[in-house]
Amino acid sequence: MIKERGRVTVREKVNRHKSISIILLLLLTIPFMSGCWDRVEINDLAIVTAASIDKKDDGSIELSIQVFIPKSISSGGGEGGPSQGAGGATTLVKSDVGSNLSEALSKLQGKVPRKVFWGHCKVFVFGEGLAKEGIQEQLDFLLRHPQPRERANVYVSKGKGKAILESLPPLENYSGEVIKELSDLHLGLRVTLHNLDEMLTGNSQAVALPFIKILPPAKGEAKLQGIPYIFGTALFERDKMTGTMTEKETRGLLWLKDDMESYTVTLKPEGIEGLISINPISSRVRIIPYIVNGNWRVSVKVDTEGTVIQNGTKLNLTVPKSLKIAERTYQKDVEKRIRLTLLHLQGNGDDVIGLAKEFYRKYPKQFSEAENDWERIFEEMEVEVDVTSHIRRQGYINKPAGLPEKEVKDR
Amino acid sequence: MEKGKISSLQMAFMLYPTIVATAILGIPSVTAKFAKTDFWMSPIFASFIGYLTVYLAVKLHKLYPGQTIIQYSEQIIGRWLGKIIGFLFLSFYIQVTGLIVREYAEFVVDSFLIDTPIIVVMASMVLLCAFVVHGGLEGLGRGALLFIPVFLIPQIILFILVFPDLEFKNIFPVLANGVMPPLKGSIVPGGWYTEFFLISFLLPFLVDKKKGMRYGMMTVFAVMATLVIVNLVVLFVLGPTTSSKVYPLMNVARYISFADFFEHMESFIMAIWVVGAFVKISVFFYATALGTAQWLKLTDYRPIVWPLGIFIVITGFWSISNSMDLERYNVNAFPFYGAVIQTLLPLLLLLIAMISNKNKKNKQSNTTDAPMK
Amino acid sequence: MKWAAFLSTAFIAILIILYEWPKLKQKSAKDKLALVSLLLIGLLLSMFHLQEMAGPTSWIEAFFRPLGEFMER
Repeated sequence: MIKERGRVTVREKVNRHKSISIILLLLLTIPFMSGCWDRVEINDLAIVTAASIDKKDDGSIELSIQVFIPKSISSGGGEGGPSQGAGGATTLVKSDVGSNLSEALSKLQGKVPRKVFWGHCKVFVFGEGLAKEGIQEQLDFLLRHPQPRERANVYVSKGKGKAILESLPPLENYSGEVIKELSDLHLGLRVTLHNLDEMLTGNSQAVALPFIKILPPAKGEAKLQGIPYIFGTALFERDKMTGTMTEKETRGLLWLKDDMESYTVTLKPEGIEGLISINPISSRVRIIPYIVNGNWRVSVKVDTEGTVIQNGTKLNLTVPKSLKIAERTYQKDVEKRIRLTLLHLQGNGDDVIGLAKEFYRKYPKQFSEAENDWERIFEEMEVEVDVTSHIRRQGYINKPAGLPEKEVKDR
Repeated sequence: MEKGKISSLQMAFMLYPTIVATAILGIPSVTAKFAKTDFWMSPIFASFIGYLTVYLAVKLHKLYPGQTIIQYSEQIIGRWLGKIIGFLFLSFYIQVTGLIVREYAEFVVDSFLIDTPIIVVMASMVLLCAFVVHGGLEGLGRGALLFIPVFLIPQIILFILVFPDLEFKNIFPVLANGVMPPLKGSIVPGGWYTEFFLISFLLPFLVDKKKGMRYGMMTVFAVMATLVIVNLVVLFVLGPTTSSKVYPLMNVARYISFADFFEHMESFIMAIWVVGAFVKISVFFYATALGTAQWLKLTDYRPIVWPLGIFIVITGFWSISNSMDLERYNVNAFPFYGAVIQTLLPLLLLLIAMISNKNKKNKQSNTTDAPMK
Repeated sequence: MKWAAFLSTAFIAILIILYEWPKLKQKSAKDKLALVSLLLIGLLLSMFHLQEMAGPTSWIEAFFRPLGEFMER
């Protein structure tokens, strides 16, 4: 009996010893569990939705950030969605100056009671003034810092970028969202931070960024209720802005970059009264570089399909002959747009299409030899544009609307 | 000393994350620096040193079954020279483990735990690995088997989600400057492949020793395939900017935006990194602990796991004052150091062992032949 | 001399000894000696400013310098 009891106590002792050491170990791990140093609470963060970088006249950098106000969204429980009452802005804009971007940011942090968080910033706007003097130095911050996303879109604004952030568009919650949505519609170029980095380090050393400005508010709207919109393209040589392209030329660039999605081509068939509008549904663009006997040439092959969305002529498009006329006009029009853009780009020597890259990929040796001379080669390059166009669909009516049967051509 | 047994499948699953974990994150950028757009070929060239290393380890183990390099090096070239070789191996493994821990912690601190002192990240990982190693090889093998899905599935998901962003044209021009650039680029991944020599610390404990060679070779192939795929994905997404990134795969994961919904995929990379680094450090740690115990002829390796953990943390700091130092070391010295210790030295040992064995056999056959006459 | 590092290493060393000693009792003196001497080496090393000090890593880098130069070219 006694012996047995002794054995039990020994075992108990061992058990107790073990459990104490386990508890001690568990206690030791507690300080590491919370991740104290990097604890981030969402209500300690100022979430940046858009940022703009401008250059002041005295050479200092002005950083403006558009910060999301969480209170503005959470208020509407029963009202259904965010309440946008008088002065109920969902964002606020703060700005500060410094000798470079990070200094401006550290000063700006002093004005915002929460820690600035870049992870959700989807829009970076460079002011025109800064763009003209070079963006590379400030870009370094955006690519080096772990928070800003490579996926964020980059823009150049006419005038100061801060004005874009300050506008309070009526339709969307904040202006950063407006620009981002417009980019998603492929109305202008869409360039991410990564694309910008790639263009700057790539062979052609030329950059194209979407150029935005504010559409002034209509009558009766509040002063700040302008909407920013993309109205062209800013052209860069290396990291300095050298010129712009109009909206029309930008569309040609979109054709060349195979990024045509959501707008309409309106054309006037030769010798026929009225206009036809076509919506390009799909397009395939191939850029084929050639070097023949030391001549650098490029052939652009476009294969596009469209749908008729308005027919203001008297042509009956169900008849093959009329359809041919419309298709040919469509083809001519696309070619004309592409030629217009090429004319502009070759005139300035801005290879924003990335032809240098295409040549490098196909003829690495020849390109490496001629690399220093690339701008001249590009300016003098012969470009063949070859468009094949098809109209595939005609919509819900098969004859021009509201036209008596006998007036329709080629019944 | 080690009573546990592992299967050769477990061995493969221990080695695979060991090589891949740190090779997919930073190495693509280093390779791209040398090989430009051809850097996806470099892992293929580099894999030959992997096959060679596995072959050497298995051959040596066949000659001295049930022993690790620390033990049989003494038998091959005598006690004192063997001890020196053993010391070279142990100092190599302690130092490399320290650097791996530092590399792991640098990435964690660089991108996630920015304000956390790096020593905390390093020490907690080493502590965790020390527990695993203390638990024995069997626990480590099972852990590796358990964690392999956590390591593989995020990679697969990542590659699927990034698919819309791939620009396949980035692969051109292929071999614009001949084979030399990708060959030079293969030197650094080659250093990683030499780590396959760790297999010599695992072979003695295999249940199915015959399959050791086959599974070792298959692991080399799997590693090669993974590295080629990762390099191709990085190339297709980042193109010419790859060489300017410190952690290219991280940039790829951040770039994902699938259906406007799957975004901010860094946590996947983090899962791969932490799990992979955990297995990697544990395997290295195990080799170090077992080797040290065998070198000192101790009865058990478990007690010295803890002081070795302190050593590992210390070498993780020793003469590396910043992350740039670490990267430079990994490019300029590690590939050669690794190849000398883990491939050339075993090759030498194998040659000596084969020659002396032949001599011995000749003598034996001579002596057995003699009385016959 | 970095006191914080040294003291925390000493603290960890004591914990290790407390944890391992009961198990080491039935083992040979060699095992005990190995554990204690390894801990002492670690303790000694923890007293220096290791990050700025030359050590195995920088020696190896210096040793492979010619090959390293080839990589930098």
